[in-house]
Amino acid sequence: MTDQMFARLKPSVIDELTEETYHRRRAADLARALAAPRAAGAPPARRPFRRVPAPGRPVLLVAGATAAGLAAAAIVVPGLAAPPARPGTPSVSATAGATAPPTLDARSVLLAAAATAERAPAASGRYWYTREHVAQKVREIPGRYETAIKALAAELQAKQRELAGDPGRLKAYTEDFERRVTELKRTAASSTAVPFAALTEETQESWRAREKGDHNRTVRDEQGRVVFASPADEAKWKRMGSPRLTQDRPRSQDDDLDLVLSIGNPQLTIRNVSRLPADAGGLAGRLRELYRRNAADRPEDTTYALYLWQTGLDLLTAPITPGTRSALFLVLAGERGLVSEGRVTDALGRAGVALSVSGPGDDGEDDAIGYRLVLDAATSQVLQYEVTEKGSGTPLLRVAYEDMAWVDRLGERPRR
Amino acid sequence: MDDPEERFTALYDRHYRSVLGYALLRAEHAVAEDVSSETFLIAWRRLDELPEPSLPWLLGVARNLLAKQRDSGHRRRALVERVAALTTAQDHQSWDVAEHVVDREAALAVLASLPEQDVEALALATWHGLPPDQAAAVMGCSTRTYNVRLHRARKRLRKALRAEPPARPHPRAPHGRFLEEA
Repeated sequence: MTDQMFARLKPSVIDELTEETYHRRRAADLARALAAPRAAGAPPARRPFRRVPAPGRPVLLVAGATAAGLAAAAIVVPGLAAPPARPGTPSVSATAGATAPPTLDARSVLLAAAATAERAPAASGRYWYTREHVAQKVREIPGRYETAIKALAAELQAKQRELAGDPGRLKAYTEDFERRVTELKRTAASSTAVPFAALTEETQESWRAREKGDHNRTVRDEQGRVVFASPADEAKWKRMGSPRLTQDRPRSQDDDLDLVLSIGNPQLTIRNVSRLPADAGGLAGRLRELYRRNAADRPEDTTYALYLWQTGLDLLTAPITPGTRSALFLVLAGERGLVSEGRVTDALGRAGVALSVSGPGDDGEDDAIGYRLVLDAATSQVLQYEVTEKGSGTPLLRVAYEDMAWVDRLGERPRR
Repeated sequence: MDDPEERFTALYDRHYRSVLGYALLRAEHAVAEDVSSETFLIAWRRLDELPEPSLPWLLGVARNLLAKQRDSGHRRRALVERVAALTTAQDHQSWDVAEHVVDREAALAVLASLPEQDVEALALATWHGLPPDQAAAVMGCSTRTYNVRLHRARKRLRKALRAEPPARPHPRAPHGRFLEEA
């Protein structure tokens, strides 16, 4: 009787507080702990790891088959040396009660995010909805190239009629024409074509049908916005006569194409990505296999790290299962070719951790282009990706994802 | 579950709420959160030495950390005082629905008159559901000592409740400032 009465004295708010706090603190607590060194003590025989027999990837270790025959992946967090064991019963460390904000390295955040992802409920629907903010560097004055190439084409047609009876002069003219087109393309694509740095920004929503034959829809701002890198850049643009940098286009467009999900991996579709392995070992193996099979579809100098960055982005923005998402975070955390940049803030002001890799430029220059992925450890979602030319503060492309979910009807938005 | 990261994550998911719930009854929310985080950081460092079951060990670490709060400027608060501070109108309602012989304030006032360790012994048994050997591990005493405290707490509580005159209904502050009245 006394115990029953006492039991009822426990304030009910405790359960609410613990539940709320658990969800709020989990990612950071796990990341902070996993980043900390552990006391040595695990006998090596208990962890029969072997290296993946692939060169250049010493970080991701695949555990030997367990009794159940399942291969699980383990990540070795770099830079952690095991300190001597401090034996004893419960006691308090020197940093007891410390409230200093923990410094988190991106890999341990990814490990915690992997665990968070696994807990998310699996969902499905008819349309995969995405809302994104797209910023692109202005690389040409819109319309200028089109006007010039149309003028050249009209001239060619006229000359073809004029020189119909003179094959020798027509051949010479055609050669000269092709040289001029090449020159036009070269100048249009060169850095001198646009002497100022600016981004055009637009918001885009898309509904992507799961079933073949159903309509996809894309809705975007009728006109983008222009953001100059600095007042000096804007002044340069004004000196050019303030040419228009955005283009009018339809606000909403429907099509019934079976759109490619991941350009480098034609085997992946919106219908089968949900069947990718949900364990890190299995997924790592599948991605390696896709990398080998699709070698012909990508530039020869694409490193595995760059392939993984791109494919990882394609998958994180696609309807993969929570298990696959979790496994993918583990694979990304284990890829040494991806560099952790630690904590960053994205274009929408959200905090995340960045993973980056560099790749060759259009002319094959080494490390000319930087690729960066910003991930939210608390929700295991991709927040943003960026592609930047080395030495330029203005990204070539920056896409921030605001929302991503299954919905059941075209035009419907996820309820939050 | 041989993988340390997986083992630790499972430990966190299984016991975080209990550890925080324990700490919340002894410290303010922010301090309780820090203590819980620190408790699990220590658990990660000692993962291979963790006894089974792990909850008493975790609560023991949290208890030691909370004791240190006295030194670092955050005064540890008496358990009964924290219960009062966390009490909401909902608690009063469910208490009244259960038709106890005394009202909630009176019951808490009785608890406040007991030694802190006796109340804690009762809380570990009743609120955290720990058997005597595990509760003793949390409190860092022998099972025998723990059982003595638990027995004493129950006896005093019963006696005090019998001696308490039936309480009159009176207006309640939302967060139970009644202890000052008591």
